Amino acid sequence: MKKIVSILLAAVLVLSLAATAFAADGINADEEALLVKFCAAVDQYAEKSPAHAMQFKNEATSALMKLDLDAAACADLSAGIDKVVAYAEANGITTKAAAKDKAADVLALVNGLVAKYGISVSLSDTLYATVCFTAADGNGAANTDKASNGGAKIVKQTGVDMTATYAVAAVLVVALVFGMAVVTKKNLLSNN
Amino acid sequence: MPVLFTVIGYALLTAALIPVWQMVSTAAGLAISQDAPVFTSELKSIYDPAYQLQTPVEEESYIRIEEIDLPTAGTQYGNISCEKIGLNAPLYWDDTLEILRYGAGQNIASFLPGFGRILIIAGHNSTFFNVVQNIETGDVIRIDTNYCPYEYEVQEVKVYDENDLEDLLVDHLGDEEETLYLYTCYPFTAHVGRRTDRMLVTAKRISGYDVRWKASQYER
Repeated sequence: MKKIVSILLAAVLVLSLAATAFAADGINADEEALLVKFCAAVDQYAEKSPAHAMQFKNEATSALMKLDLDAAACADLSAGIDKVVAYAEANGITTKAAAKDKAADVLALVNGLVAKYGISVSLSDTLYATVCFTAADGNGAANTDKASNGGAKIVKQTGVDMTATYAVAAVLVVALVFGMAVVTKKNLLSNN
Repeated sequence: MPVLFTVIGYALLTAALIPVWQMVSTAAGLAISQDAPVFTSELKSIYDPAYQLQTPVEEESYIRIEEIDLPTAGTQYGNISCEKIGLNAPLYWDDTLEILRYGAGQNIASFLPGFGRILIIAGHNSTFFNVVQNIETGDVIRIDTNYCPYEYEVQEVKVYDENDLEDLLVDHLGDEEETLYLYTCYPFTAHVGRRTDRMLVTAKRISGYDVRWKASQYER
């Protein structure tokens, strides 16, 4: 379900890339209503984890700050959310496994909804579970932004360096073996 | 016995030469790495240190969001500093491993300074955030942006297990009071192994203009 909800988020976020240089315009009244609907969908279909629900809501809020959606666009996007939710219900997407199986189908549905805006959505970076979306800005340059897929933790590793750990261990082992060889050789020589 | 003394000898050498190991391990890491090192970065910047302070509108002391450029993931949008402890790092939107190599990273589930919501910023304890170990209650952390400088006064410095910190930050994601949560791995002295604790610095905003970003904030 997290993938489904993240794709719902992507359906909101992708439109932000149609704006030029991500100039902010805030959240107007129509967008606030859309955000309320999105948050309700997240509450209803997110897995039993308030952590991910709040992440989605915050990211959707930030994304809508970049948008300049009028009433018609908000209605269009609202209908899109209904379609994705209806698809999830119709296909019994209530478990993580089911969501994973159907992720490609839902992604195709979302891309079909946003294609008229010249935007594409993809799921990538499985390690950190991100939704990536690309679109051309007003100057024709491709812009890419991302949202979390609900699987990434908020607290990151800010000190681990496993490469250094293995490298140091390797150096110590080599030094120890060398030392043992030297000691053994000396003992053999002294015995002789 | 000779082998035992060899082991003890190397253990003592290791303890004595810990500062050197980091250099050795980096070189060894390159030697055993299966991937070619990447020397270029795709990170961008919209931050201009020579910014002009936004003038508040209509004596309401707020900034209109239309006058701000919002960063995308991987973009430097500001600089974070604390003069007292010598902290000074570029501040990026997003907190991937790559970004943390180049500066401090802000979680994209949090909000920019001035927006009246939570800020979650991370940095490596061996590089940019090494000086955070010296921070104390009452110290002032500054975030410079293109639209306004903001200052946050440290309220608490505490060490958490990473899972407890995750729960704490999740609980505060929806807060409607602007609070800066700055964290890094703990302890600062270990050079190898996985660190499961985090030092968290909690700070409240004490200066800087509000950003009006939604319609209901303009209603009187």
